[in-house]
Amino acid sequence: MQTPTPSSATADAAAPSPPPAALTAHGLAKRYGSTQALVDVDVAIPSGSITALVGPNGAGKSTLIRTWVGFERPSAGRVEVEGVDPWRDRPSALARLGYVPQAASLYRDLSVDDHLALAGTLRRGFDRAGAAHRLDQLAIPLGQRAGDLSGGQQAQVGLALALGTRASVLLLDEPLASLDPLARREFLAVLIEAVRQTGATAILSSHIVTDVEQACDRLIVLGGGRIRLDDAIASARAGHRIASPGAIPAGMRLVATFPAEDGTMRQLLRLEPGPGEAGELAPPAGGTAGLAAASLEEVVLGYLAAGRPGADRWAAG
Amino acid sequence: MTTLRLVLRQHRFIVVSVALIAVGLAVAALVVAWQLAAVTSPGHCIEDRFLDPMPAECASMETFLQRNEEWAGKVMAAMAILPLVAGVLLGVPLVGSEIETRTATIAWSLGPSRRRWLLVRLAILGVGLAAVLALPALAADVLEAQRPPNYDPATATLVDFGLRGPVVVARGLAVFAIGVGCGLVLGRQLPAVIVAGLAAIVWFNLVSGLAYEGWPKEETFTPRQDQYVVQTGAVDVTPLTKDAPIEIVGIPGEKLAFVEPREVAIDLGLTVLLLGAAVVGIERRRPA
Repeated sequence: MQTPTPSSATADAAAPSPPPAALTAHGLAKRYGSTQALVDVDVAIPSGSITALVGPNGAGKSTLIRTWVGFERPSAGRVEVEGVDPWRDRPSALARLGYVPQAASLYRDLSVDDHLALAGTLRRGFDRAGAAHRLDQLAIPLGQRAGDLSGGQQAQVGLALALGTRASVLLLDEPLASLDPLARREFLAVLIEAVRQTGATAILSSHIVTDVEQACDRLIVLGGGRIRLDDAIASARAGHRIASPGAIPAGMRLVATFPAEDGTMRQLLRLEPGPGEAGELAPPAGGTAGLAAASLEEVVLGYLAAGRPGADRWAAG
Repeated sequence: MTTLRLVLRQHRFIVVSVALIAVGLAVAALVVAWQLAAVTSPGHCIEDRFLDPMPAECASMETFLQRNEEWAGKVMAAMAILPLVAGVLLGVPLVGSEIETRTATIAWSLGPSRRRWLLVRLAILGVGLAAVLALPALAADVLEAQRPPNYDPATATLVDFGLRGPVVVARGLAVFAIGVGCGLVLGRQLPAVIVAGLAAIVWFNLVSGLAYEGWPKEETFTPRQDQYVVQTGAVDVTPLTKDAPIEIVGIPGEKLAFVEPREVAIDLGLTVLLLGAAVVGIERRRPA
């Protein structure tokens, strides 16, 4: 099985130099007993970006995020938060981070206001007034016990705690997983507004592509503990096409063949950079007949399928 | 003050429960002591109450012995498990519940220093536990002074050693440290409570054994009329009979002045050792 090359590896050398990376992983591997959670992960998250970290359950999304938080020790390689290795200097790394864990991990018997007070005792410079104002705008009563809040409200409290740290890097580990559509939309609206205002870097992990499509400007697809795709969302959309199985047009490369919702097979094709125009995607030779624009979900499905056992069988079929 | 308020609120059910149990036990000990004091008979009545006719001053001896055995005995039995229950209930959740309920992920990501987070909580709950246990420990000392009918309160005794006085507080802190360690390592409360409880029982037996056996050694001596002694853990009332003085083998009560501070030091040593290990180990602990 051949894993598609992440498009970042073919980045245009002539393009303006990218902003410095807020988060990096170099040759990162993480093993739990016989389970390999992360394998040779190399990634650099540009400052100021909102990156969607997408993959199925068990792909390694939480492990990667928790490694940046300093909760997991790399089995090999290293990670950095704004140049600081969280395992060697956790206090310095944490001082740069705001973290929203996978499950809303609030103290059930403490009120919302108690949580803000607690954060104030734990984190120097915590913006308690700002966090309270943010929750007040969402009509979340500060005197309410956390255990009595709805799932959406608990997620908003978790986000308010992370934003209140005024951290330059926000790590959000599937905060939308248990929320209804309206709560998801509210959560993302608050996140986007806050990040745009502060210029912070954010990573939002999810296994639902449509959740993060509107909020994020970058996409990382993680499958089987490996990075399958690392690209700007606009570039990922523009650089891929969907077709029925058949001949592959010139100027395009087959990423994977995968089953669509209706049971038919689809091919995800990637436009190759044109000759002499490094980074510029060439239109497919022979026109676009039979090719359709790929949705972000189809791009993700294609790259996940490419990394799964049996991908060769699909591709051959 | 905010931290104190929040830590107490986080653990309020257990804090209030332990405080109520301890205060209730202290009150019970004082009430029983007062009731025993009200019916105390001279020491010779232990045997003279069987005389016919019974001396008038011995009429209340049966009442005294019954209250001493039933009421005071129950208070002292409760004192035996108080430090175990209080230490485990307060120690295990301090880190164990935070890991189990995943609140540690919030606390440990907000606060750059886990050690400071833990030290603050250890100080608040540890000092609180010591203060709460001191009440029944002192009250049990008062009760003990009323128990032996021929006992001179000025004379030291090893009777009910470990169920009263500073040893109760020291044992409670040792169990607290064991609970913190088990909660930190296991990360789940129920298994941690079971393991900590078993470890605490083993510890109690170890230190109790030290108090009676080998160190200090038993010796042959003639006890005074008003002196109680411990013979490998059992109370020997023989010297209270009219045939005294006799020579017995045992540990004189005066040794309490040596045995008690020694166990307090051993318990506090274990406490410092385990809590120190927890403060170091928490940096490497993976939250759930």
